Parts: sequence; structure tokens; C-alpha cells
Amino acid sequence: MKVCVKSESALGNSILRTLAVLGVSFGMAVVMPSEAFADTVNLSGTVSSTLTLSTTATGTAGALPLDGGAAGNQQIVQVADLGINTNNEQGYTLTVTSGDLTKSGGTAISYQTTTTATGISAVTGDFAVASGTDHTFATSAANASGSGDRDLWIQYTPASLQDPGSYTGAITVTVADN
Amino acid sequence: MALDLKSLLHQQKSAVNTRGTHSIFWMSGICLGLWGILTPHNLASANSSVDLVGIISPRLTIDSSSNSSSIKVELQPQSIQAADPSISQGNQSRITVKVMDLTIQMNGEYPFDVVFEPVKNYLESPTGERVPFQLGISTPENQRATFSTQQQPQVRVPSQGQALRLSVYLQLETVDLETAQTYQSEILLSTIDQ
Repeated sequence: MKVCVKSESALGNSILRTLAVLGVSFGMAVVMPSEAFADTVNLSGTVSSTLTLSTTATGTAGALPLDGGAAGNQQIVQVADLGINTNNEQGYTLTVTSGDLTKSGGTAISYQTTTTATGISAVTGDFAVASGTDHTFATSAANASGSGDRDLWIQYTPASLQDPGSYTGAITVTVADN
Repeated sequence: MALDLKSLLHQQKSAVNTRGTHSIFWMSGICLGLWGILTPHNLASANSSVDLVGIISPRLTIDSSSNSSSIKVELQPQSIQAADPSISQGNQSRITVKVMDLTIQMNGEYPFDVVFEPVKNYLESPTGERVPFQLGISTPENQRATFSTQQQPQVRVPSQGQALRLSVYLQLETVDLETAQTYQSEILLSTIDQ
């Protein structure tokens, strides 16, 4: 009989323990935050640069007036139309070289370069850098095709007794996004 | 003494801290510089070129007239007789007459040879009478003109625009001239680059 009493008591204890464990687990589940699962989706896209440069030489570039005549016969002529456009919001930088018109066995004719907005004639004061030094022009915004075109000009002074013959030269035009 | 030691220790610590700050500063600067140099910026660029050509032609100046390339010569029989009465018409088969003096110049840094070439080898009167001649040129260096049917007269013009004075002579094949007429001809001057 005593044995039975002990058995009932043991069963009750077991149930109580089970309930206690469940209660503690439930309590922890309520108190502790539940585990979260997260991941990221990376997005990317590329906008290609639309920087373009077109150079169209004028007829004068191939037939420069060189006869010096009187001393100090300075010439300012347009030699090319430059078409430039870019989608770079910082704009572009244009670089134009300058140098000499040369012929074998004769004194070279040095020339300076500059650029102006389309349709604007260059004057002596526009040639701010010496021959042999690059002329640069920079913008600070993107521009569509046809809206940021430039005219390329050179300035030179043949000697009054410049040696007869054919004189040649080349201007390198470079444009880069800022 | 204890105070001095503390002060010394503090100074040394400060020095170490300053050196450390400088080192960090310079190292950061070097790293930033290297980053700036080595990092590709991927900026677009484009280039092209413009060819320039210009030609200077030889420019002969004759008696200050820079657009001339020919000279006109005139012979007036009356002036021949007036200038040199010893020359008579009708009997001599060949006489030499100076028809003009002139000055020529060339542009350029080097000498040019100038060739004198008659358009026609005869003088012609308004009535169409023709008198054949040979052309001769004299210069300060070569005082005496020579005449040849095989070769055209040629003179060397100095460089740098120096003027050359010369005289033009005609050697006439006949002196049967109408004194009332003026005989004319034309001589072309062409240049040879030396």
C-alpha cells in the first residue's frame, strides 16, 4: 500500500517536472526574440560614356595663306570645326596642340591655337598660350550632340621673305571626360 | 628631483606621440597618393588630328612690281640712231642694242636662278614687220652680255630679297628698220629653285 502511494507521488512529480520544463521553454520563447533570416539583392547597372569628338578640317587648313608680304603680316584662320558631346555631368576637357609649319630647308613658321564657340571669330587676344604649348578648354556639365561644338583657329606670322615651298603641320585634338 | 624626472618622462612621451602622429599623417598621404595613381578612373577620351598645308610660291619682283613675270621690250629706230649715231641702217647685218635696265628680287632664304625667255624670237611693228633678235643679259658681275641661239640667258638672284640690277640687250639680225615705227616684243622670266 505504501508502495502505491509512492508510485502516485512519483508520477505527480514527473508531471510537474514536465510542466515546469514546458513553462520555462514557453517563457524563454516569449522573452527571447525569435531568430530572423535576411539576405540582400544587389542591384547594379552601367551607363556608358557617350563622349565623342568629330573633327572636320576647313578648306583653309589645306591652303593656308602664307605669303608674308609686308613684315608682321599676321594671319588668323579657322582650320577645323569640332563636334563634341558627353553625358559626363562634370563635362569634358579639350586639349589642342600647337607647333610649327615646317618645310625641308626653310625656316619654320610657328603657330598658336585656340578654340571659340561655333560661329565666333577668334581675335589676337584669344591666343593666350605660346606656340608649342597646349591650349585647353574645359566645361563643367554634360552636353548633347550639337550643343557644345567649337571652332579651331590658328594664328601665325610668315616672314616677309619666307622661303618658297610647301609647309605642313598637324594639330592633335584630344577630348576627355572630367 | 622627482619632479624633474616626471617632467622629462612627460616630454619624452609627447615627443613619441608627435612622431607617431607625423608618421600616421605621412603614411596616410602616401597611401592616398598611391591609391590615386593606381586606381583606374575609367574616364573616356577621344582624339583626332587636323593636317595643315600651305604653299609659298616663288615671287619675282621686277622693278618693284611683285606681280610681274614678264617684261615688254620696245625698240625705236630713231632712238637707236640718236643714242649711237655710228649705227647706221641698211648696211650692217647685226647690231647690239640695250633696250632696258631693270632690278629684280626674289622672296626666299636661298638664291634663285632666273631664266629669260622671249615669247617670240622677233620684234614686231604695228604693221606686222618682224625683226629677229637674240637676247642677252648683263649683270654687275658679268658686264658683257653674251648671245646664243642655243641657250636662254640665265642669272642668279641673291637670297633674302637682295636686288639685282641688270641690263637687257637685243642683238638684231637686221637693221632694216622703219624709223617711224616702234618694234615690240615680250620676254618671260621664270625661276629655278636652287
